[in-house]
Amino acid sequence: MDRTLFTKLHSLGLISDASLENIRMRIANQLFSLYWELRAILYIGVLLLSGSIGILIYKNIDSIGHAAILLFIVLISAGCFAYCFKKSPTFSLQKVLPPNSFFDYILLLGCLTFISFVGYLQFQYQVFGNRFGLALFIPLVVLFLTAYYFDNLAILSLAITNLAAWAGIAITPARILADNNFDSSTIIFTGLLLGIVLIATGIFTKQKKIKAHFDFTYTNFGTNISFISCLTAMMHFERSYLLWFVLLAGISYYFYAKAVKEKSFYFLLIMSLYAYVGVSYVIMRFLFYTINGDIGGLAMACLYFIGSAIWLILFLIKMNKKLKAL
Amino acid sequence: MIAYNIEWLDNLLLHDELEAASVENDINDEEKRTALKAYPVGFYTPNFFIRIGLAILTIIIVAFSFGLVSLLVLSNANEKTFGTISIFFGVFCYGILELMVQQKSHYHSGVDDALLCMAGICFIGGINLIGNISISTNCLLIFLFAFYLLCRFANALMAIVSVGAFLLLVFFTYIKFGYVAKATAPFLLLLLAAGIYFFAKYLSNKIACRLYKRAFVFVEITALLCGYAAINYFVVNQTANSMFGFTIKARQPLAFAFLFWSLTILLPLVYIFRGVQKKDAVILRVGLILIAAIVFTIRNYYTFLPIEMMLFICGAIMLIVFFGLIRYLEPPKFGFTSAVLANTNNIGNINIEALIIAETFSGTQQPTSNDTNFGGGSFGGGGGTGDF
Repeated sequence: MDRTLFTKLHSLGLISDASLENIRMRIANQLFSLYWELRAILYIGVLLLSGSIGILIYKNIDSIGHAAILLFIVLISAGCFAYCFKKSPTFSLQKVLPPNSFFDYILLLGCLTFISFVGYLQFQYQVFGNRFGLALFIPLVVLFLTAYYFDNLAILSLAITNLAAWAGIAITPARILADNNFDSSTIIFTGLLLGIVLIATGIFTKQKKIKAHFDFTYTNFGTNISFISCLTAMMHFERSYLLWFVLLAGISYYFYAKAVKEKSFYFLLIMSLYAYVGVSYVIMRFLFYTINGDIGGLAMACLYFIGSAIWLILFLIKMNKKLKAL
Repeated sequence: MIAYNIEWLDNLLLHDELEAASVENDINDEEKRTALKAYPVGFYTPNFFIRIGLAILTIIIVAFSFGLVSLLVLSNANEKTFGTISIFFGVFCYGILELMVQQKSHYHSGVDDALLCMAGICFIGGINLIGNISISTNCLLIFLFAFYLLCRFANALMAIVSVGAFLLLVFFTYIKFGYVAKATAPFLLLLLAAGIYFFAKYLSNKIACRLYKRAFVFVEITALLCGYAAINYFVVNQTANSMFGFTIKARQPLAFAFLFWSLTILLPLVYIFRGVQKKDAVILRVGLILIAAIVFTIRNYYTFLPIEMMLFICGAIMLIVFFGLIRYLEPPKFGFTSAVLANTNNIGNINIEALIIAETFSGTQQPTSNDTNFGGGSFGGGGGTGDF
């Protein structure tokens, strides 16, 4: 903050006396905030502690005994959750702020220890037998409930990641897992379905105003998963790739319309880049399979990239102006 | 000297101040609007994400143009041809950059950032391809080019490169003077880095250099880091072994070993102390980061605790420091507070902190599922980094 600047503005009559006084007071009482340094210290501390406990347990697993370790992990998890329940504000469908600065991290510690607990249970005692899907399902439910009840975006991201893991496992029958005969087309369809479900959840969340600020996280994950699935499908299915290209075009158009409606530069960029990769892939295939990759083909490829990149730059500039003007 | 429109740059500084004041509700909206209108800025500066897109695309265009031109001369190509094409491209990129900045008023638009880097890389790369240049000449060329671009465009990356190239230039020239020079090089570099740091701090308060403030911050950061690297025990040891052909085994002390060890440990503490004393965020944060460097350096030579004990103790210390500071700063003391001043967590509605947490911690799950699961442990946080 520069006092001479505001004094000059005041003398030109652009800001009132009261405002100048406000600024003078603020400059005189300016505090130096250590907020981000403290958050960083907390974050690294939690990281180091959880890492060290993991290694400690791993190394001493024979002497300590599994039951004792399990008890220890459960106690930490329960303790964290107890603290969070006691301190948390009442549940509401709107955005809720955490009561103090390390509430988020206690919650995170609680969730991580719970996940370790379930995983450990499954690994050591095979509690869920061969039903790996169930082993993933329980942490999934707990994470989602936690994210919604305590209004925490980081836990929501963990929950969605878990959802992806679960979708991959649940859709694959156990027989295929055992044989390790994994067909990637299943993954692709799973990915696409998951992406669409996440996007739909985002829309639903925003419309029904159930924690409306969660919609960005859902949509972000959904967008990336759908686009990647589409692109992978295009590259994987040799004969029907044009079909996937049409699907890609459809999804891109949907996000274009969404970006324009919500003035979101982020989605515009993501959609442009993915669509560009898709279009380039189709054109490159065409070039290399029909022109047979001689030097003329390479030159055409270079020209295509230069031309398309210039076109895309102009498009982005135009969209930038359009979105700013809206 | 600076290529961008100076009046607009000044107005941009004014805009930032107005925004900061308006966020704190010191001035009301109407005052802000009239003031903003009185000092217009005509730059083309797109949104942050568009900027990334434009930079990527500019790099694609330059790369494929280079490919196209190379195809034309592929028949009788050797290194010298590519070198000449590179130099030509470097100059060409610089020319387009000047055009964009003067005619189209680009400022931090991704296009100028990308063209700046490409110009530097192509030019220096081309010169290297053409002839066999010694490393100190390389440093000199890089320094001159980067410094010129820094003065012309006040670019942060050029600031880092200039300082680094300058210190390396001094290093490589100085060590040619013999054994004594090799032994005292760390201290010379530390002194030089300190000199650069204080000079940058002195200049950044001058009115004439007001447009280079951001570049000066990066000069300071680079100088502080390089200064520490110059006297860090591990760096000095490795350099001595690999470059000077000394046959010092890893555990044997160097000459001045005690001095290097004490500097390795004390310098970050000096940084932190000065940061707290002068309330300067730059030197404070660099000092805090370098504490990790101390730990790693000591760890490299002496292991008195198994790693999980070390991690546990470090983690516990950090949590104790955290809770202690929070309680101590509850009513703000000595001008420090633990509360947040401005909300810099969101860029375009994306909660950066949540993304970082999700990214780091999503790998700690599911010991049951191995690589047949749907990217469970390796799926990135908020971005498209999932792999199947």
